[in-house]
Amino acid sequence: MLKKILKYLDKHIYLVLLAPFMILSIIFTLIPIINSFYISFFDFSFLNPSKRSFVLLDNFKAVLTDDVFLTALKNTLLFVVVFVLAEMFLSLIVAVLLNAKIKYSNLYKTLIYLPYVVTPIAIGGIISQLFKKNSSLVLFLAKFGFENVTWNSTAPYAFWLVLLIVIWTQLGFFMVIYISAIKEIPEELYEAAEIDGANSFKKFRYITYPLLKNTRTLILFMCLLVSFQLFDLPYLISTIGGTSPGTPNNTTMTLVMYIYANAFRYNNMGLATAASVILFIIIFILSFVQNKLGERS
Amino acid sequence: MKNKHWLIYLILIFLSLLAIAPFIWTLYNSFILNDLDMNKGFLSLDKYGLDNYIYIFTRSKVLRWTLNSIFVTLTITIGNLVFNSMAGYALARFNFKGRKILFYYVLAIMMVPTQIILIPIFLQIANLNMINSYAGLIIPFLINPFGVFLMRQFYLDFPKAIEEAARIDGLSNFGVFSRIIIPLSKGPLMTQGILIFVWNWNSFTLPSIIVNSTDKFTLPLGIYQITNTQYIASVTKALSAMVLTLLPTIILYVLFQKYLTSSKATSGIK
Repeated sequence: MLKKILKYLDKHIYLVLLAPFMILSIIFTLIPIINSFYISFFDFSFLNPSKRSFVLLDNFKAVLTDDVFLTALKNTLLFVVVFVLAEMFLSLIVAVLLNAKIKYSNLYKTLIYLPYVVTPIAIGGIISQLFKKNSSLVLFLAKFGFENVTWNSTAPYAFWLVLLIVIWTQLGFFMVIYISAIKEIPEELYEAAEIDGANSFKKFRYITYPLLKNTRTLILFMCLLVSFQLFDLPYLISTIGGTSPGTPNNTTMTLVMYIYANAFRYNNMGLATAASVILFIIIFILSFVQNKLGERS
Repeated sequence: MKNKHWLIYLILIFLSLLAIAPFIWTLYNSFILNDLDMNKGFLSLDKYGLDNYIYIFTRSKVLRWTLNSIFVTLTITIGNLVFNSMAGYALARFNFKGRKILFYYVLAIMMVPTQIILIPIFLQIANLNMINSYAGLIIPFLINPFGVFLMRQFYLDFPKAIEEAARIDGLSNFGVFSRIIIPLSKGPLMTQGILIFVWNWNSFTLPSIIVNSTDKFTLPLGIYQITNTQYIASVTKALSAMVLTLLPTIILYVLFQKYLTSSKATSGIK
């Protein structure tokens, strides 16, 4: 009997191979995805999750009239716009520079990628020390017209500091995707252009840039996804030292931070579940558009 | 031409320094014994030492958190390597009903960031009685659709002839997978392994809602508590804790960076 089962499984080995992934992904991803819509129609609390009441759309009404949610939405949108523009521009430029015939380009690439692998909590802790009032860095920046203040607790410095840090940590990741796409461009194209007398800028303008179109679309959507679901760094930077999320005055509050804080700090489950669904819909639309664009190219 | 190269070097060296300066600053300051000596330039040698590190190892639970992090992250990494390769191989090699739908399923859940299903994931982990346990820190993270996707791409290009030769030599399907396929997948396994290790070592959001007793904390949770509650009032001592958190991923990265930054490694992402 056992032998028979083993033989059957070996013949249908894909069942065995897929089983762990399917079981775990259904329990910890698929069911939660479905459940996230279901629970957004209920009023409940973690303290007593079995006792809940059906409230239909009250949670959505509450969240859409909550000033903090609207602030979080506004912050996130501003964040997304600046992050996407800056990151797409910077990662492309750095990738092109690294691809020029220069010495030690691998060393520069390794170093620029490094912040991506560093623990966000360490980055948050380090940044909040570096940008503290009277630190060497802040005193240096004061020479250029910035105020001598603790950046992560002063508006509007905190928002821009978080933005800058996130751009800095993600730059290397997008850069290496660009580099590998540039490496796939056939060398002959550049040689032909050189014979025609094209300079470096023209080669970039008429060969590299247009041929990177698909990569640009990919990076655009990856940047959008990263920036819409931003949480770790702004949360850590704004709460280090015991302050509340979004410090100062919700100016660094993002959508995911709003969900996390309402669910796990303030026990406002209704606001958190409704905000999750709204963010889910945003991400779904983005992915859908990306797929449509991907099919076309 | 020469002048332009000079400018490129200047930009790249500046960016490289910008990328590592904060960490060098942190490492340097973690050896300064007294907070008041920070921001003062070079000091006399007796003002530096290892006391900050000794302090956080003996006076906080950093050692315990480090061991927790190592145990949790290594288990997750091994699980991902095994399970994701299995699923990736099945999707690339076997013709069965629903294969296409399954692949779309993998893509779909890859698009859904855990950040937006925090609450239902928490409820699910609570339902399974895994709150505040190692099981809760490990089991939900044993698989990753990105890893499945990466391995599938690799196996699609993998020459079938090798497997067929092995089958003719009498290996079972299972034997082919474990003795032929896995040993020949070193490249994508390394890329996946390092990324999974780094992501999970650094992970803060989900672990912070899954465990609440300090004995179960991973390193990021512990360090957050230290900085957040001013449990350690000294800045340089906190910085030495930061160094402990960031050192393992940096060492791993420096040793194996070619698996993350080479064109071959990133082609799977596209």
